[in-house]
Amino acid sequence: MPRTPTDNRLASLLSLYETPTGHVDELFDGTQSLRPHWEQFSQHAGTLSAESLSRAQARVDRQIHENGVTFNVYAAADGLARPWTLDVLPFIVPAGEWETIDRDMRQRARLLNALVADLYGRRDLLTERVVPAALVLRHSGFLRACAGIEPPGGIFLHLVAFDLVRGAEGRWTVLETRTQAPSGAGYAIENRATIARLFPEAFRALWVHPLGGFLQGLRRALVEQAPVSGGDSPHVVLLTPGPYNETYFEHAYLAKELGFPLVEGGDLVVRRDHLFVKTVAGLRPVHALLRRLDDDYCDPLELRADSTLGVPGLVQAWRAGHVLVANAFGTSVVQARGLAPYLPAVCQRLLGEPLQSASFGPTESPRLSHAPVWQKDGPASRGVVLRVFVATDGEGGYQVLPGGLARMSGADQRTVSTQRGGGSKDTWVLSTPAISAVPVGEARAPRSYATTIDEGATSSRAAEHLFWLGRYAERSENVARLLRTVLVRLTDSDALPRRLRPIVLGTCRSSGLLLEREAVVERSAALEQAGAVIESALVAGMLDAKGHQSLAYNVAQTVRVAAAARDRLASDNWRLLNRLHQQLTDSAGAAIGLDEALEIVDQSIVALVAVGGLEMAHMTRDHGWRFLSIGRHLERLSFVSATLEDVAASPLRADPMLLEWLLDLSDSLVGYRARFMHHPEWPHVVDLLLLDSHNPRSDVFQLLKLAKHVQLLPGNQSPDLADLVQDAERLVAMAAPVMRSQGELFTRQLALDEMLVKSQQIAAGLSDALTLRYFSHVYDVPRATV
Amino acid sequence: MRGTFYQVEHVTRYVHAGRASTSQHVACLQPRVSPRLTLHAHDLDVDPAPGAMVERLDYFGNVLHQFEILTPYLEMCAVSRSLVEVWPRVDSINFDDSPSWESVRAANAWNEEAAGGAEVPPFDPDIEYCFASPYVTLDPALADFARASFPQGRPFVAGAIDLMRRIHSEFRFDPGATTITTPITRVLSERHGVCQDFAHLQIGCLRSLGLPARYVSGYMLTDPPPGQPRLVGADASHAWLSIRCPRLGWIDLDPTNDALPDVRHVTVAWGRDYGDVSPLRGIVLGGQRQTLHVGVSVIPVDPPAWPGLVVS
Repeated sequence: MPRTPTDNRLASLLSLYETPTGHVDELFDGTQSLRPHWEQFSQHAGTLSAESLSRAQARVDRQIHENGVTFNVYAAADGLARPWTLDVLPFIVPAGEWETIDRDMRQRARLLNALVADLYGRRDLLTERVVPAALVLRHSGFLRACAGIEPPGGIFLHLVAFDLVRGAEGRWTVLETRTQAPSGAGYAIENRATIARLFPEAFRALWVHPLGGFLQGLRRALVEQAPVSGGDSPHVVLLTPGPYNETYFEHAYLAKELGFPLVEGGDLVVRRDHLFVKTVAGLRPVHALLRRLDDDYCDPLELRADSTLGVPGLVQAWRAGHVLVANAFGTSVVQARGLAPYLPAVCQRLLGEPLQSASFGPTESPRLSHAPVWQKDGPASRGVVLRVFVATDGEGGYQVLPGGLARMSGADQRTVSTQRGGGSKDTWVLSTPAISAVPVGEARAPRSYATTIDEGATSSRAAEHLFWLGRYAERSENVARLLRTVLVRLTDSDALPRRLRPIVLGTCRSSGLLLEREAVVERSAALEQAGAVIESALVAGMLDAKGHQSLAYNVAQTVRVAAAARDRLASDNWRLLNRLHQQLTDSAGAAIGLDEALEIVDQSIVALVAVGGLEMAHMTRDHGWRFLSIGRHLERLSFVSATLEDVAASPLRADPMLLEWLLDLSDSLVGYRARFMHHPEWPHVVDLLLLDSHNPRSDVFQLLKLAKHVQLLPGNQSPDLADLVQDAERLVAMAAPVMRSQGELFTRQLALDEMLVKSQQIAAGLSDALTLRYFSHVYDVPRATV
Repeated sequence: MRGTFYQVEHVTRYVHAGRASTSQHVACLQPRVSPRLTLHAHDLDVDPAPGAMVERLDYFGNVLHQFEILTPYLEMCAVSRSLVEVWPRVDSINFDDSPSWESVRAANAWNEEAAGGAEVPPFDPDIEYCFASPYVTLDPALADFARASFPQGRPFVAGAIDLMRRIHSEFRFDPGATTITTPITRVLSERHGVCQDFAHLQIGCLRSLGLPARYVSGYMLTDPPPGQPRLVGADASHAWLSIRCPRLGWIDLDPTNDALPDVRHVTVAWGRDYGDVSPLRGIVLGGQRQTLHVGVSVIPVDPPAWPGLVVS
């Protein structure tokens, strides 16, 4: 039926949008009038035009990218993360409809929990012929190792997801059940943060249900039910398969929101039936585990022997009652769609009440109801599957996230699969003024039950990632500064006279910015061409993420390790790095002139300096931060001593132009001028860059910091580490007398040589010794025997 | 009346090229008590000494010992010693009298698609032995191979024995040809393997026809070559299968030896396949390359041979 023209903004915007016949439309009723809740949205949505929606959609895309909301697709050969897709228009569920969903899904979660308990316990449902035994015993999710195990509080299911589809009579009906390790709650909450701000007036006027409270409830349940012995405070961790998992973003996001450390199987160990996490301070008890790893991968000893992601002995620790596992192992058996026809009888038998919600039978494929998604050229009609989340509330019951993930079918309109590129929508549940009183932003952060994160809690893996984050971030900054000092001088032969080129370009070469072959070209090129050749080689060396140890390469590595440690980083930190990475990727391959290259380098330096600032301003001073700082100081130490050594070895080292470049490279030009008020002189430059313990870029400054940080690391220091710290302290002690000994040139020269060589040895030695002492056991390869 | 007494010693030794830092193990080595087996004594001795040892029953009722070794080592040795008394079947069975294989299949049939709300069949806990399991895939090729032994109306047990004979005669026993992860479809196509493969193969054949069969691990008394003394540790652990027939119950079949196990076989455990009853599984941290040495001795003894044992 054609829609009659209307003055309603949303309706007229959607006048060309058409839902295929036979599908219910979520926005328009049978007479093609906008449904009341959408009418309400339309009234308060502000100026709705094709242009404004397209602009808003672009903003959503950009924000999602910058926040690093990704969904990895295993198939992608390069292992790259694909951004999550989120539609600009929300999906709206009226209050009355939601009341039913909320009540029904809580009952269903209770039912499934009782069902799991029976299947792994008394098996009344099988012996009494309520459920066919074959459905259960043939299911690969029925884990025989779990039979007879009773989890803390009798709770097997802490988090369940249901995929709902609007059935023929308009009623939401269960299509799929996810009890294994349901994903999506984090994306749903993140979606809200993005979409609510696009329609602030409508969001308020429609009294959209806030999402806060859901995660706190889950958190409270885990913390309170965790079996804790002997005065320990409960320690809960989130187990992820790792950064290559398709929903890793969500794992990190939830870990941060819940305040649980994010760990991988290799971080955990079972000893005498108790679970521990390997931290830099030794083993620390873990009392509860929220897992995002499929159960059969969780314990190579009792489950899949070929799993390298799990923790040997975990099932036994759980069986012994020493750790809570959410969800319990073996729960995926109740995901079987074949159970659907038997659930009403199961409900009657186990709960003594009728099952309120309906589910589709095992072979039914329902017709999805449709809603518009906003595309480049306007609205398109797509099928909707609404994923809702139910979690324990910490008070003995279940709660439903008052929202959810509306997942939209792909262009073929049949499949709803995030892996195949369908999108998602923020789901608005309408409510009353009283319920909506809590502002969204405030409700998101869990407040109660602040965990006492003690100093030793940094897992060895997190420590290693942070150490490398420090190194790569610092290395990126060094490379960017080097590029800037050279590119700026290329246009000005006064600033970089030909005699200095070999040494400056030598530094570029040893930093990986210039390839050997390009250096040869440079040497043989005629004087007038040399500048152009170097320029294009350097610009290529800046953006090519593969052929060089380029800026782009180092930034990509920084982003990679930051991703692995993202549960410990501020979101602004992440956003800065992501934006920078994107910018460098976008510029790669384009023909870029000198001024554009300089602009990119400038922006890179600003971003990287900001990242460093955030580390100082935002991060808790725990061992994790210490490892990050050690990484940075170590990298700076080796850079400053290597460049100083290059210059010191050159016969031109007294050349003021060369020294000015060196000071610029070390960001110490301003400091030098303020102090010495004349052209750079070699002895003063050495004082400032090597010996001055007050200059945060000097060699001695790094040595001081490194000695201090390493001594504050937990546990006994290995002999190697202790020796290196001693070496560093000896060099620091040498510095002051050498600074004063301006006259005794010979002694001074000997001391300088030793310091430069030793500093580089310390940098390399520390990296190895730290790896051996604090990180390496993480990567002991477990071997299975069957 | 007395049964036949055996003293069984099963030695498992892992020698590592480098130092293993810790390890965790689950042993399924204690002979399983049944009306036809009495366990008079059992002892599991592990070196280096484990930090703790937990004994429990698994889903199938087998006894498991779970332990961890927390001291670094180059070599680990687990010795399981048992004194068992086994009895022959009391009932003599006329295998041709068993129900037809089709009726056994029909009793276990369960059609999920047709089931939507249909009446739930009577509960049979053993129905799980009809389904695929990690080491036993179901495959049309297996069903095809089996079908020659199951012409229309043939008694189930007679057909299963025929299948056992065919496997014994058509397949070559070749210890080097397969590993425990070799799929049974390849065992079928290449016509060789060891006892685990033959047990898995026959189980897969039967299950592919919808017939129930389980995997049995244990030991077998072997005869030394004529004129030579019995050598300690010269034997290996053994595996066969068991089929379940209405009225007759479980009947063991040994396709490796073309035999119906009686008093020369000692049952340790049963499950869906090897994975459920692996004698000693473990996860070792570090240790580099490892070499496995297994030695089994099954020695007939006169009671009471075990120190301090009194057999009534």
